Amino acid sequence: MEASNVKCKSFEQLISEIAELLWKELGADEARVRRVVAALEVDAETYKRLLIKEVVNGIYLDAQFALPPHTLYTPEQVKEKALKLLEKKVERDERLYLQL
Amino acid sequence: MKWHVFKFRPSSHSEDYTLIATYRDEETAEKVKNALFRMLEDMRRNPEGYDTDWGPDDARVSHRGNQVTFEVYTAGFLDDVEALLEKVAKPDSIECYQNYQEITICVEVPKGLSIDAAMLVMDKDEVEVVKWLRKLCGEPEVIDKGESQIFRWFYAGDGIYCDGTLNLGGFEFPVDERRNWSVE
Repeated sequence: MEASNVKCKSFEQLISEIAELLWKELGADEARVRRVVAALEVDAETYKRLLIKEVVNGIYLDAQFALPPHTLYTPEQVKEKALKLLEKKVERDERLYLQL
Repeated sequence: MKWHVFKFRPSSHSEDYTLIATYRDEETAEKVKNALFRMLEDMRRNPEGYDTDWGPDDARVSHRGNQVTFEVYTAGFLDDVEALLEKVAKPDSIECYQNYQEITICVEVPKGLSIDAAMLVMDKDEVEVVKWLRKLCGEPEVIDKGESQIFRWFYAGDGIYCDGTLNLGGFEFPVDERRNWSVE
């Protein structure tokens, strides 16, 4: 999983880029998403949006500290963290729902 | 594709949070309740899979009719729970409360007065409370008490009553200092 190196101009733009990155990541493994969704009442698109919402909530603070004047993280680090968190959430859902 | 900035809840202090999800029928609510129990069990086995400030033994799950209730003391780390409530079945609604309370608020007034007429004889603090209660809970139930009557409101939602005082959007009303007011 490789994070984008696009230069970010604002917090909203960074969040938007992260959401796009997560969306692409989920799209790259549709079969995995479909297997989980088969056990749920939501469609694949809604499921992906819910996952992205969870992940963005999880990196929201980090994203705030990745933009000037803060230097605690770089936008790339936050994107890497978002991808790792996404993987963790998908693994959680596989444990919870694939056995239904 | 347009993405909007999402809500963000976790804060620096913790509260008792209550999530109440309503589903189309009791069977669906029971299915969601069982999924929540499964998630709590998964938290025990895979604690590293969750980013919460609470543990599975701190949470309470119940269901009544077509509603599922999840309660926990947290600074707002509820994403895993909210996601489950939305994924396992399509909810009609999900309400989130802080320091959830179900209380009955009563005021005794002379018999025969309508609520509007009663507000004319109340002091300004009482009038303020009645305005809030009508806005939050609707019109009161009227109970005949012989020579007087009671206006009664049932309230369910974020905590508004503590240590004998109603706190209504920053306006404080000490119920325990009023002989004609009560909260149960």
